[in-house]
Amino acid sequence: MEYGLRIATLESAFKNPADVCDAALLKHCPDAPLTALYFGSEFCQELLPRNNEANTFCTHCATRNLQAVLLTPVVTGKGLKRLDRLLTSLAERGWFPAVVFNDWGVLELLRSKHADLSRHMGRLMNRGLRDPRLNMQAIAPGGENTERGSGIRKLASSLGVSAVESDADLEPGFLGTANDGFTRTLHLPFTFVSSGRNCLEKAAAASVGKGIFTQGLHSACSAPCRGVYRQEIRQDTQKPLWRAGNTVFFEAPPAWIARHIELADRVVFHEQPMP
Amino acid sequence: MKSVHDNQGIKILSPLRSVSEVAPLLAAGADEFYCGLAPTGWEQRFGATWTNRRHPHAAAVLNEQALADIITAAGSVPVHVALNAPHYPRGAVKVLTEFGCQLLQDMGVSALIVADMDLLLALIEAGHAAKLHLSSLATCTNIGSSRFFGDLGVSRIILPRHLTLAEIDQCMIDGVDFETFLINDGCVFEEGLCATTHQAGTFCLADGDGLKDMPEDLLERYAFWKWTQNNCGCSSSKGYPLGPCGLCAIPRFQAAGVMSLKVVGREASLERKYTSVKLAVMARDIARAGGGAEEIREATIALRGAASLCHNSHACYYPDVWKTGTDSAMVDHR
Repeated sequence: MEYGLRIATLESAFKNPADVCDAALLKHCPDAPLTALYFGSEFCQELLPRNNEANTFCTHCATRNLQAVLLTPVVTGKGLKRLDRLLTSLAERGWFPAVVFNDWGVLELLRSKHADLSRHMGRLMNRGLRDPRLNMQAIAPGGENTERGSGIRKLASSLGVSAVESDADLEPGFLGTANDGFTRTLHLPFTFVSSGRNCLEKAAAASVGKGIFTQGLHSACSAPCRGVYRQEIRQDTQKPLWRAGNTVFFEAPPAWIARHIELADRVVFHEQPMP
Repeated sequence: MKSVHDNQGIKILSPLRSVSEVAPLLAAGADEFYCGLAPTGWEQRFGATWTNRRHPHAAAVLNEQALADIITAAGSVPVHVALNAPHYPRGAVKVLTEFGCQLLQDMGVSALIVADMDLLLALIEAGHAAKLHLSSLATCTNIGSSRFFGDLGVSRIILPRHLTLAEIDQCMIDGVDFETFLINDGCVFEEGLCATTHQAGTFCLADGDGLKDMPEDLLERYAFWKWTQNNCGCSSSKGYPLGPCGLCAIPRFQAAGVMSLKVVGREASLERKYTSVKLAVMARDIARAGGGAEEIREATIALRGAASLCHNSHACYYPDVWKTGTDSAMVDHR
């Protein structure tokens, strides 16, 4: 077991898992070293770091002897090009972060143009349910469904993927078994519920006028959601619910998460809900 | 990029759920059909889990015999079956792989619409790649992703709703057919990245209502937009649908090489399916004759009504059709 940390800004780079993890959750986590820092974005290509930001981050990771891991989202053609430029820039400076892909096109980019980079299959590739309105039934050890995702893991293995990532979805097992040969990585405590391109934070920052939603896809975004997250209250679920940028997250009960932790090789703690 | 342009053979893909709908929808001009179906015994084994993205009782074909009747009535018009739930419970992929093989080999189904990667890969391994349509739930949004699925051998990629026309252009490759959303039933989130289930009610309908510290007027506009995505809750006075619509973008799809245009709404009434297909065919025929977006818009308003919906682009799937310039995709600030 090892830990990773998903930080919001470099100011948080010296935190440890215990600094960001809820006590009720922490008691399910064994002692283990911090080995990786995660940056980038899993949910929005507008939040991919600028070249200098990424360079600073990789420098910091090297200084602390931590693995730098770049999170990437589902991207459009422009996002794919932007990511290519970012990875090229980092390579020119001697940085080769591991890359979490959530888009098969990004994997193709890694294989064709950035083959030296370690490839992690991201949590959006697990399309299992994360509906906070549904009950989470506790399962006994061995009750998880490792059959789910077996095909995609086999394919990923054949394509040089070294890690499979997920969050605490409703059916533990997507990460497979230790025998599959992947670093099984679990993201805590914020499980994503739903994401999309029509972003309330972007709309809130836009000038008042018609069409901020209907015209949203092709209007510019200055990433006003950076560092912002809001609680959302719904009548149909009691679970803590958060919105950050274009994505809704919930927090699963620690007792439920415990079983997921037992099935992981690396646990990545998120400092806050982040798109 | 795709090398074939000015595609005159662009098809209108219609939903359906019973044999009684075949003749009227063919009369309206449907070129292809798609429907949902679960194998016999599915509910006994897998409970309330759906085989596809829509409610089995409200939107699916009743059983295999009903599907056979549909295929017979459709004649040479292709019938595709959606097995596009985003995930399946233990044991279901094996059952659906066998079921999918049976549909293709024995029943004359033209193609299967699939989202779950495990099911997709199992059907490819069974030798059916050329009869697989990648569901929009698989979120293919760039050319690298298109190449990835093209290399797997799928014959068609259904692009997600939330792409601009320029972004759609950038997804196109040779050797794969592309399908885009044309009319009805929007989605607040990206459907492929929504991990909720409609079995528990539509999650997005209440989204934002309990959000703290957001301006009230913004949430009101969000609620209005959600209402338009939900087809404005009604039809026009002439009986035509009022939901999201991309009819005016057909000339662009034609030029890009898109092969098929999806009319959404398996669960809808026959009247709504019929009027939707009729609108789609009218717009497609105007595009075939060389008409542009403005001509289609005016013809749509004349047939459907609800001019304000068009003039304010409230329900446009692809509002960038009204943008001028060569690239209407998102601005890159880097």
